[in-house]
Amino acid sequence: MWLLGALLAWLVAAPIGMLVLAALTADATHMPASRAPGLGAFARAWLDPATWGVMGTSLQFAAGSCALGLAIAALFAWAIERTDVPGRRLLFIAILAPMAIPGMIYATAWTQLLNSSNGLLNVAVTRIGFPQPRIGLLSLGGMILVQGLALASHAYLLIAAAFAAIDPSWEEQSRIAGRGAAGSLWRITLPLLRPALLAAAIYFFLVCIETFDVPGMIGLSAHIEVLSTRIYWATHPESGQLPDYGVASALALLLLLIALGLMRLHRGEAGRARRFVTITARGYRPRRVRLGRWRWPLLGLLCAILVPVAVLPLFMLVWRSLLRFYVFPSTAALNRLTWFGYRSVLGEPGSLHMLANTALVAGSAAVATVGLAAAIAFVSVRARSGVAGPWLRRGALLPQAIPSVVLGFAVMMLYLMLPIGIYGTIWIIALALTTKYLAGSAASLIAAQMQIAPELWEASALSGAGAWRTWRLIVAPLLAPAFANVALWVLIHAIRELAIAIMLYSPASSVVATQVWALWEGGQMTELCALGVLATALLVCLLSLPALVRLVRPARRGSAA
Amino acid sequence: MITISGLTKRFGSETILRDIEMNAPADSILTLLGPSGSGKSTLLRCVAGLETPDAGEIRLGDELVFSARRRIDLPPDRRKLGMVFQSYAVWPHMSVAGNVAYPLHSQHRPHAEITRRVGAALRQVGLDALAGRGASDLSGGQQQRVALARAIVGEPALLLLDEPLSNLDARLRAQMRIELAGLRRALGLTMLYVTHDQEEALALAHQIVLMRDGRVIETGAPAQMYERPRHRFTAEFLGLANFLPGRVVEQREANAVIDTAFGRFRARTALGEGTLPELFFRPHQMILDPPDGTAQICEAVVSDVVFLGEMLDVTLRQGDQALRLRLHPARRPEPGQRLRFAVPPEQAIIFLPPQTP
Amino acid sequence: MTMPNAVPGPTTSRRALLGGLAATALPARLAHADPAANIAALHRAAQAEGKLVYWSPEEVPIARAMIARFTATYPGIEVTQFRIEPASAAHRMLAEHRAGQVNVDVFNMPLLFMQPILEQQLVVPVDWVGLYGADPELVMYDGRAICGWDLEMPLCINTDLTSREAITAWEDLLAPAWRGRVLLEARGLPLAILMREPRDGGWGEARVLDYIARLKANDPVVLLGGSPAAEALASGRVAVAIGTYSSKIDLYRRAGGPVDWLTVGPIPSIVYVMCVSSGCAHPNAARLWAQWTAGPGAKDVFETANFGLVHGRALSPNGQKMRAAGARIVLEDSDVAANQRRLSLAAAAIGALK
Repeated sequence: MWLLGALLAWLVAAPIGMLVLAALTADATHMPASRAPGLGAFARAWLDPATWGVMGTSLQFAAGSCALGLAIAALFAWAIERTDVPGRRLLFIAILAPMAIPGMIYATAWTQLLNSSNGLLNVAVTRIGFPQPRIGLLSLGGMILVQGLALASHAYLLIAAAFAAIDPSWEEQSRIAGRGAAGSLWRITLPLLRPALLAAAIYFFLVCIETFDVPGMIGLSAHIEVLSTRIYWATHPESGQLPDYGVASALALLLLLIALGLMRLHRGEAGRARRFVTITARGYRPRRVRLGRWRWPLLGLLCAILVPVAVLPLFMLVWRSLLRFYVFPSTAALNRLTWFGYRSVLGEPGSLHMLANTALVAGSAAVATVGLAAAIAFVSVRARSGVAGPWLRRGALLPQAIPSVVLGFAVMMLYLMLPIGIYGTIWIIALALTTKYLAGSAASLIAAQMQIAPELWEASALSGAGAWRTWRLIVAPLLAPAFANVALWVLIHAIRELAIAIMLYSPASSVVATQVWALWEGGQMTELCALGVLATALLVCLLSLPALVRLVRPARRGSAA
Repeated sequence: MITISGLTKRFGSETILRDIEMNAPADSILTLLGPSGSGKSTLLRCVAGLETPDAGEIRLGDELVFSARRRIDLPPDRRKLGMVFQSYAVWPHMSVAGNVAYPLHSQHRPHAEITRRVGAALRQVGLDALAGRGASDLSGGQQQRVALARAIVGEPALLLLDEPLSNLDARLRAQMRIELAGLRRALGLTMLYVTHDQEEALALAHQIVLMRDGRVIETGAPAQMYERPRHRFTAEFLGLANFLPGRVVEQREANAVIDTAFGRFRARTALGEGTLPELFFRPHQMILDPPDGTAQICEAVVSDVVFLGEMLDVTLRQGDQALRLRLHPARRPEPGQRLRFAVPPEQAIIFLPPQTP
Repeated sequence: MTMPNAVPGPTTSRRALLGGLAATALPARLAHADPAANIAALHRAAQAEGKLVYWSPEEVPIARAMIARFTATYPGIEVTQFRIEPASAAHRMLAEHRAGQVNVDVFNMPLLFMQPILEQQLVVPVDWVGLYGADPELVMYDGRAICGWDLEMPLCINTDLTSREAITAWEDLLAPAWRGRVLLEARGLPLAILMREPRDGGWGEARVLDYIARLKANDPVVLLGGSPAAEALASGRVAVAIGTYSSKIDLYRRAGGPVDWLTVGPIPSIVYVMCVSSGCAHPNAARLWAQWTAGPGAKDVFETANFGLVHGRALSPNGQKMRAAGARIVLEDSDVAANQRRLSLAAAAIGALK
């Protein structure tokens, strides 16, 4: 308990403290701690009416994207985890595949798909013989669309476990009561999943408020400003000034307050959630909803959704990776295809070192994050931890509200001032990533844990097992799918998170993300897309792993005693 | 074995248990009986340590496991209990043997001992053939046996059961009842058994604690509580009961003579003339066709006859009053027929209405 | 076209720095007036250090070629390039200096970001001319930077969508025919450089601001970053782009992309310099590298990256072609304060970055 508190203080409170320090002492001409503290940055950040206008846009953007992303994710989670829709394994991989595409590539792909001058979809429509439709993305709606689509796979990974854990008898009861599969989904399944969905919604809301890729790519062209771009520009002044970490930190602290508010909302909801136990203590045998004649129409719908979520962006990625520059797909264009990008990515000396670094950073961040998140889940839900538990949980959730650029900065300053020798090594990246992804992991595990019937814990306590033993032998195994999902999720994010790695890497600690950034900045789009395709392929392999594990597992069953 | 005094439990502003006093002797079955919402499960969970009461004390054997005043609250894993949950709470990710071995692993028993005792416990519940089976592949009845084996394998002195049979079908329930009683005798356990089913309580318990609205209404041995309840609620809750409002017309020797819609009854009690008591007796206490000369013979018209297989459920009616009785199916009264009966005075019980000021 | 050697910041600090220089231990410390002997001594000292960390924004393959050439000339020093964007590099250097953990020895930086670096005294002044026989014209900011390379940002076109002949002046793009077909990079780097006074070859602030306003009325596509701009141009999303580099366009063209850059003047050009970091771990290797990059030995490697020395006599290969075609090149001002003001003005006029 105390150890956990200390760890969280180290990982979470220290960077936040650094933000407060920066907000009090930094401005466009001063680095943090280089002048006497003052409230100037807060005044500039919080009292500027423009901030509040931008805040409104940010909230709209976040709410819209979040709703779209979660709706798609929930539909897929339900279909894949709870129904007998055909091709579930492939659907699972397809919905997750876009995760490997870096956010800015995803956004770029979409601007190439849908812009009013030569967008692929527009041109395709013209080629068929229609007049040029001139549909573009340059609006808040366009931003929401792309962000929502990009969010779907991430959201899927965080909520799928909750869907998998639901007691089928409630759905069956609803079917018997005369509601169709869709009605049961709407009236029974979704309300039951409310705590898990709400936790995910809050988390992704913060993600959308904090994200830069889509607002940076599309919002900028559309002249739509959001909070994250405002923060980004405060930290990336393009006129040769020092970044204004004071304003950026003050704005980030404002986001923290929003996050705290949302978590308060969530707490009330979590209390209600106790009643929605879905891993029941009676025979727990997940069964699937039989769709009958609706199997194929549902598959059709899912495939139709996959077109904008995965197929089109992935096609764009693959197509671009095979060309030195973009041309409209045609038979004539096939002559121009080249392996140049792949040759150059794979032939890169030092890429082995980079991959090893990436594996080390992502692996250790995933292990640390899941371990900590598990510990937080353990103390926050059932253990007799008094008031400390909720505080630990809330503390763990806070870093999500800190934009990556600001968090990266805070961590950099922290370890520059704290000479423990990790600055410039890969461990500082791993540490920052752990801080960053603790929130999502803890939220996801807590939600999954709330769905386990209390009797399953109580029975263990009455069998003479203490809280820790109970958690280790009873709760953790029941949460195994949730653990696997969260670990995978952190792993993927640790590989793709750019802003943190760029802020913290050094020549010795370059990782895939920094390579992506270098290619992007260098205009090496072909190589970048090739790298994106390879990363996606790697992800698909990773996702296929559980299927292989499942092949091995039945042999172990029965000897579990 | 269990001594509870002054136990009070509140959830928010709602008081679930009020000042409970209870005492269960060792080597017996104590049943907590009551309608749903009476607080019986909460009381059980307080004994288990799963809920923390707001006041009072709980002593298990010689050990004080909870005392609000002395700030003692032993966690459940240190109270050395077994418990069977209504929902069984069999861990789905473990095998049958894994579930049962769990409490022994918690006690860090040597491997050989664990294997032996798990085998013994599974034999006791008749599941030894399924030891390697995954727990989630079992039927409800089998899961219930796993839960039972898991609860007894650690050889606790006290076994708590929370409506353990309510999810089973009627035949299995009857069978399990017998097995539970046999098991208890064989192991010399004390059982604290929660149920809302009075039949189960009567069949199993050495002692019944009847609860309502968070209070203990009455405590006693089953037969005594069934036949000679001290509270009208006990009489009503424990089985088919006949209540007749009446009026005392005279006191004859040890018996009060009471006028009712069905005629005159005698009850072994002393009441002042003009008192308006309620007369209570069980259907089986009614003697049909009493020999002539029996004091106070009543006669009434049969209004309904329901065939129940082993017996008939007959309703007699007089004005707006009704009496139920049970008859052997060989005798088939027709509705409209008149029946003569009597209730021995020592079996008729009088409840006085609450004093209205 | 000469560059004023104006150093911003208080002169007292400059003097203090120069004083500090005398105190720094130098193995080859003014032993000879002979540059060749000094460089040889510098090489030996650098070999003793064994390592060099070089921060720069150029693409890894280019840096790799430079390092290979350098190592061939001066063996025994392990050079690591840390590819980092100038803005990030400046911010990180500031943070590292503040914490006393300096990880960079020598860095290549556009003038645009030199203001905080000079102001916060992150670089060491070196007597490049006296010690190593450097061309005095290549030394800037009292020895705190050496050499300058320019990267031109001309008007660039998609050759499928328009022709070289279609545009003869910047003002052509204000015509209705170009409505929605022009890309304007959001930071407006070239336009900020164009704001230099007419005597320096520019348009002056007022004229540029007026130009931006009229261009904006013609509904340009605004994108952020030189690379996305080049990508959008090559893909045919726009016909003309303002704000990408001729060298980047060359990359696309060599790959067969339908892009080209124009020699329509005036052509703004951004300037990079090499600096030795103060408090660095390998000061001798850093000097050795910096003096080498300014000398003839590195010239052709740099030119393959379209890096050419500025200062009137030599421009980058592309710059020379532009000048040969009659276009005037406007170099970035070395007055860093003026640069900052102009960049803020340009970005604000474009209005995408808040």
